[in-house]
Amino acid sequence: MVCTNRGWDLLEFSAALDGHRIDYVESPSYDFLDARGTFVRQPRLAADGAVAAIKHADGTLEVIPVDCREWVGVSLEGRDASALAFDQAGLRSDRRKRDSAGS
Amino acid sequence: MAGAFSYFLSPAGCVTKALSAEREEAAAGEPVVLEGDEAYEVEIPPLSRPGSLVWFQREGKWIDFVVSPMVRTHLAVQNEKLLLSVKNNLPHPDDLAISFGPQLLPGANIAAGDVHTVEIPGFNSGSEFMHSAKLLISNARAQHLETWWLLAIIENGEQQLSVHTSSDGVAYQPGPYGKPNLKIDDIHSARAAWLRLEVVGCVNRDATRVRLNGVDLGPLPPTQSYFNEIKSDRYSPLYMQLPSNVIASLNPVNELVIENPGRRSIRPAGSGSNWRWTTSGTFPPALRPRFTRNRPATSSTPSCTIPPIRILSAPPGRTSGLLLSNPSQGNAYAN
Repeated sequence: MVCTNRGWDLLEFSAALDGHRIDYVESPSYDFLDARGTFVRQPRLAADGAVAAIKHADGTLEVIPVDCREWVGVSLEGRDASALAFDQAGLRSDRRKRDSAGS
Repeated sequence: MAGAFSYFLSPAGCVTKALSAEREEAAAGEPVVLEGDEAYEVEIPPLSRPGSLVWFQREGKWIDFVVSPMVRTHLAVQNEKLLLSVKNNLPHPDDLAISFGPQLLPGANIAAGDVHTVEIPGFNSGSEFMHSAKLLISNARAQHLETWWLLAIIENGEQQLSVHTSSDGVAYQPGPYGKPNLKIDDIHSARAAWLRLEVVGCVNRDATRVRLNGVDLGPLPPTQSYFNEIKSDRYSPLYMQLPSNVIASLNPVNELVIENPGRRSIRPAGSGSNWRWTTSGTFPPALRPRFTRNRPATSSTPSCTIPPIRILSAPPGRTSGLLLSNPSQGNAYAN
């Protein structure tokens, strides 16, 4: 099944790719891929599980992997990027680790 | 980063030229060319596992390739012949050496994308057996290994050979005291026999009863975690001794029923067999590949019919045992 709109800025499909099912969304506010356990490469995302990439107004990307065993990739259209990791409460994982070690 | 829930990426403003390659996939041992400011020829490591990602770094940039299998294979029985088809998955012709179990088959030069089919001899013995069949295909750079299960049973005096993969639920374990050319009379004269099962969850074990060919074998015996809720029961083996009247009742095909009010997952022992999850409303039970414990017993008595146990005689050099077979739900083996 494929869904899109007139402006072609929304694309959503669920499809069988090489014998296994994937779900993929490209939209102005977020991209999403569920590769269901097998590594899949799509234009904006690549992963072996599910991953959502939320696009913020300041140009940053919030990447949330779900059940990805090994690989998550996002397209930055050829740009380098710096990355920060956060835990579920929104705290930087590296800072939380330091606090845990010190307590 | 381990344990991270999300990542915030802040892209830089300028676009840099990334590494590129003509292909996204390549087989183990294959050379690939990376295009950056210069061209680089690199080789996919020969021991790379198909489906994995291989990364290369040049000029401070990274590029990855999905490792594809060097060949696609298909094993099937056609017109009572065991036929192996090998498709060259490489973008060029290749000389391949092929061995199937202990047999070295004729090698072949296969063009890119072409399929080479070869008959594997020696499986029309007229006897019953089940054993693994390992295929090894190698070229000058890498190897491809694959394993199937071959099952031969005698129906109406004719041997019927079938091919199974580990993913379709076939499992096989040889019996510990095997006897070649086993016959039903030999089974009936056995002095001892037992069922081996694996369970998940340890509550209400005494309420779970097992019947083989209509004879009550009693409740499941305890496992080592019976008195300790913390330990996991997953894959705990259970052995149930068969009384002499049950041994005497064994037929070529046998029925095993597990009354399972605790709704635990149970499976015949053997890697690859399926867990059985029984509920009061499902008969025969649906396959649920999930584990649970501490489910309350229900007033009804859900039961689980394990696929019929089939007794196979063993080929020379192999031991005998009981095969649980059900074409629609996979096979498993108990000894």
